[in-house]
Amino acid sequence: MTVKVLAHTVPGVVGLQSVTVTESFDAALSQATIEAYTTTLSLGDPITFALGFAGDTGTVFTGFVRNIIQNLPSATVQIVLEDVLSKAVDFFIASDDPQDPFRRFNIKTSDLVKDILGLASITSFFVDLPFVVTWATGSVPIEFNLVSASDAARQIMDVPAFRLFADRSGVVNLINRRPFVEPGDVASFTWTSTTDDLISISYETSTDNLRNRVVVYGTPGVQATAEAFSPFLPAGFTKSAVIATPIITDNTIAQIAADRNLEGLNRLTEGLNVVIEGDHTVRPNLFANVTDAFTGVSGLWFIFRVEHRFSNTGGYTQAVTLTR
Amino acid sequence: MPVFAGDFVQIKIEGVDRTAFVVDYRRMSSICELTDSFEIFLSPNYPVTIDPFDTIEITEDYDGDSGIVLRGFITTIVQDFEGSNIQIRGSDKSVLLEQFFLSEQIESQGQSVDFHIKDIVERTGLTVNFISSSPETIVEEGTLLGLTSASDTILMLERLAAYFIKYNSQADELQVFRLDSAEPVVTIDEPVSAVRSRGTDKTRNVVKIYGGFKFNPSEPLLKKSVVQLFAEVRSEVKGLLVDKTTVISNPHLNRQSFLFIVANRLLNVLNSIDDVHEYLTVGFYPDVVVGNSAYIRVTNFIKYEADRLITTIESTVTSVGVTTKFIIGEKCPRITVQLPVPPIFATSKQDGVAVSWDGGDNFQPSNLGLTTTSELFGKNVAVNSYGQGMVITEAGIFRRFRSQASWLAIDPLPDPINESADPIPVTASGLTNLRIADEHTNRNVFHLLATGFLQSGILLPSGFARAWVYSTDDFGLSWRSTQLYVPASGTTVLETVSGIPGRVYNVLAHDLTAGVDNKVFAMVSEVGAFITGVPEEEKEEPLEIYYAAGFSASVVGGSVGLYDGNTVTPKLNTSTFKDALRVMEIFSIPSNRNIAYAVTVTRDNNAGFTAVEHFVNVWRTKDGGNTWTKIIDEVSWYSGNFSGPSGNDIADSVPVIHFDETSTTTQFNAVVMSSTHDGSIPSVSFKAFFIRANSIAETVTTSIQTLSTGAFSVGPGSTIGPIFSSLNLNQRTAHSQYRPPLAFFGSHSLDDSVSNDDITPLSFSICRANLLDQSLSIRTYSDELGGMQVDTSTIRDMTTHSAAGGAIFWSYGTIRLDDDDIARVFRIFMANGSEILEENHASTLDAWFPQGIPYSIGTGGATGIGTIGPIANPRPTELIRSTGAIVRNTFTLIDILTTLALGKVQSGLSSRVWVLGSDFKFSFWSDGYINITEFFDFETNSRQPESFAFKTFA
Repeated sequence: MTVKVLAHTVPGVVGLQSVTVTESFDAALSQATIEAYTTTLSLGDPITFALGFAGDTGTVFTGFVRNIIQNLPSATVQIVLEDVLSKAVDFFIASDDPQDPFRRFNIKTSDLVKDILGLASITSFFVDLPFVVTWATGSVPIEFNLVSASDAARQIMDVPAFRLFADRSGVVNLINRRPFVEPGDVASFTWTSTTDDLISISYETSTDNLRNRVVVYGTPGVQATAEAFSPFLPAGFTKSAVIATPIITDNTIAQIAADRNLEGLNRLTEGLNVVIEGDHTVRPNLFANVTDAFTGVSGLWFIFRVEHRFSNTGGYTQAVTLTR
Repeated sequence: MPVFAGDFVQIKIEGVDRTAFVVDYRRMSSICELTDSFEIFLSPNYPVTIDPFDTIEITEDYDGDSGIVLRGFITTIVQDFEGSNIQIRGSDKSVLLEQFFLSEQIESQGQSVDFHIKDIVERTGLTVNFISSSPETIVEEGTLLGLTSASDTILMLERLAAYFIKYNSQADELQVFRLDSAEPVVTIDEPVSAVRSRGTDKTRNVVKIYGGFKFNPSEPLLKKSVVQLFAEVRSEVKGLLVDKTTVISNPHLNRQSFLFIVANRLLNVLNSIDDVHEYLTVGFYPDVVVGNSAYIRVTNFIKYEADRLITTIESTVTSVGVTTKFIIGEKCPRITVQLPVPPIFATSKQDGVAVSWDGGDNFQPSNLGLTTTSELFGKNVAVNSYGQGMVITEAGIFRRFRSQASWLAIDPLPDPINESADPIPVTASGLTNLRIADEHTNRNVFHLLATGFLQSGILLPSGFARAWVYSTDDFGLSWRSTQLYVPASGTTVLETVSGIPGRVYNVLAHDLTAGVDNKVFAMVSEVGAFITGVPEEEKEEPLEIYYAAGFSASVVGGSVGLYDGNTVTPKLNTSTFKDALRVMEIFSIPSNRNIAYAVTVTRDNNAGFTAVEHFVNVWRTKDGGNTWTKIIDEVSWYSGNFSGPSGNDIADSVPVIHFDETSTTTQFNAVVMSSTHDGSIPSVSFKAFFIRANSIAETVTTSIQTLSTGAFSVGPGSTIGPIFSSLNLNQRTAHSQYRPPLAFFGSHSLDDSVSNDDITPLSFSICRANLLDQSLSIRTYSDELGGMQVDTSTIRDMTTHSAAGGAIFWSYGTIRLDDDDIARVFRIFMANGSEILEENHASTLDAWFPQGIPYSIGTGGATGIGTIGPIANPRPTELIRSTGAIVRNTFTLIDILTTLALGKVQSGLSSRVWVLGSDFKFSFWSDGYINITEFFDFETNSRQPESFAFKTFA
């Protein structure tokens, strides 16, 4: 048996007890919690650190200190961290004149999102979108007021089912990624129960989130519908989802929203929860080939959520949620 | 029935003691919630059926302390077969407010909040006791109440008056109260467990208010544009990643001043990091309720000592014991534009410290612990938002934890740091403590301005001054000092005295104050220099000082500038001035304090007295003072010749700079005004230099207007005397949004222009500048002096109170009539921005009437100024005194105040202070310090309920 020695680069703490990092496809931001004896960190301090084993560590988090909690009698301190998108969560768009809110015409998705997140002093972006969605091409502007920059940006990205997240180096990514396997996706990892890759595994499936009809309502006169057959529902039966938002001001975007969201919703909800030995390279948006005889699963899975569990008592493991 | 020993808690259900059946018990009370709640597990052999709304009475007992902690009702019963227990939950009697639906709509007729609270509470069958009351706080006429639960309506009303409303089960009544400054009632020093959580979830550093709508009166009736009132205030909070904004929209906020009041008060509560503590202690504290203070002293790990408000109490009995959890520091603010006014603290020469709880109407001694004559010689006082206070007295510095507590002497200060490398440095025994300032929302943090003088014969001349700011972050247990410097022309801030050949520092300390955002500003000078300082929030870093250097009148080429204490480059250096400054002012835009304008007027003195050419210079910063751009460069404005200082041919007055306090980022207005009198011509000439700038478009326009009184002010055969002084009639515009911003400048003289009867009147000429249309107009008034010959006259000052649609100007002075000094008050009323409805209104007044403070004008009392009439007791705008003259309170005749300085009001509101003037004191504008909103209706000379109710110290 190979003995691995835990290694980390967590700064500003003495007597590190544990680190938990949570990254999820559907979360507004990534979070981390550090438990230690003492710290020199202060609220708002920037922080980045790596986890792993001696000789094999990698950056798993970049963000800021958001809470510091001292506990007695354990005499420990908990430090709660959030990634750069916490700036967008904190920043509340409130114009000086309600009649003159944040307003844009004829603007691409990436530019619009960058403008909004720019209000929250977020300036580092990576953009890789497969097609252009242009907003407010007519006389009706797209407007935001009395909403957080995070919510505004996500409203925009959710319409064409794009993905917004901050990566481990603090760069905000605007990409096309949906939580299921699409053509061209390949596995970055292979986990099988026969080789002890999997410490535990569970599998679940349901039709709870299945929708085979999506209706989109935008500004007055703007709407679209997409519908498809589902082999998992009774013949002729439809389950509908409705997207209603005033930020959709033309039918083109409405139809994109209907079609793209139908692709994501018209499928069984399948989830795998596995626990593996810690591997800092495992992160959401990648794929893994998972094979397990007991649950009967096999094939390519999307890594939806990763929770790093790093402690001086439990070692380094990861709880990974996968979907397809 | 007595509480049985060991039971700790006694439960009566429907009047029957059921304590024996209690398995687990939990009670929770929170200042942020209307109702207290409980959860009890009863054993399965409970003998009778429990029904909803069965009454319950809970008594807690521990270590000899016993009290009823909850009277209320059971609202939920859960019987769980698996647990074999009966769980009951419920609330105190205030749950009736939640359960009672007000089925009719109630329209306020302008009654008080108290009236409506009492009315609604009585509808539910409860009784209410007003521990605090505010009968002048009204619900605006026409406001609709009802068609909702009584609790929702009560919640709205309690916020309107900044009340807290809780059910006091001990007294069996609903109680209305405000959080006050009470002594701690419990000590927490050995908790079973403790959690201290710091974060920014509920922290906000920006508050924006959308208010009601106003019409623009300058537009034709049918084209009036509607503008929604808006206010924004901001501060800086260390630890925030970006601005965190909270927004309030309320159409009932229908005056600009109200918006700023609400915004500032809310900011005052929210602009600190969240610092919530949870302490689990053994036992019960039945006499302690939320809203009480606890003295906390945790010496290990958390290391925290302070008294803090208890916001939540959670008491439990389980199989492991009896515990009470105290939570402190939760934020649930009560903000109102209306009363209450925060306390004002003052010091006096003979009566120590005084406090006013009614906005200055009445002061009462607050001296517990101060007994000797020297201890009662107060110099300055500061009180933070936690009630912690420090006072400087002749006997030293004292502190107290609460306004009801005793003053405790603070150990002598340590010797100050000797950064100036003086061979024989000033020691602590040679210090004079001048000012004390608190950081408003930072507990335990105070700053002290101290000065000392060098001894003779040691390189530097004797009597040269040094100045320090002492800071403490443990409420006076320890201090560190920071030496203050004045930068020399062309030199750097950080150079020491010995490092500047030929230049001797003589650092005079003047004033120290702090804004609501905890920025502390010190003011020092050589001849005229100013410093503002910004301590860090956590107090772990050295005091960071920003310098604004003034000028040296005795040195040609003296400079003015803003300096950063950590760099060597002046932020704003005006060393290119022709000569020393005559006047200089600085103003920041209320909606964005990072944008500021500095206006200076210089005079070329190189040519001696034969040239009096003036130059106007304007600088602008858009980044909080880091960089400055000169947007008007030495525009020659005023020039002329006169024969010399003793001549009487031409005498120009010292210019005065007025700012439009309603300036925005897109329209900044200012005007420089002055007057000239040619002794050979019976006329006064006024001149105005208008400045208009747009900090967004970066445009600047100027206009020079001149207007003369002509000869009409002096009648045939009369002579005009010298212009004794020019009067700065700076109108405050903060509360007159329906009127264009106006500035006033005046002069007065002796003449006989009115009746030509050889009885010398005193003549006023007042020039009014409209900053919007950049026009001038002049009014002249004369006052017959009743057949007595005037020898001399000195008009000392003039001040302004504005009201909706009008403004009133007060002046006073001492006139020598034959051999008698007679003090007189003059009142000029202006309404609608253009018409003067009353001419000067003279009356005698007490010679002790304080300079610059229209404070003692009253209808009675010993001051002898009752002839003013119905204008009663305008509030003080400031009470900073240098002469020690007595300020009397004519309402109470309690002559306790030989006031030297006022302490900060507890809801200090200024977010950033910019001061650059020739007076060695801080002054504040509409969003700072003790600046009174309208209190009387000057148009009718009567109290107006709405204006009375809305008095505040904004």
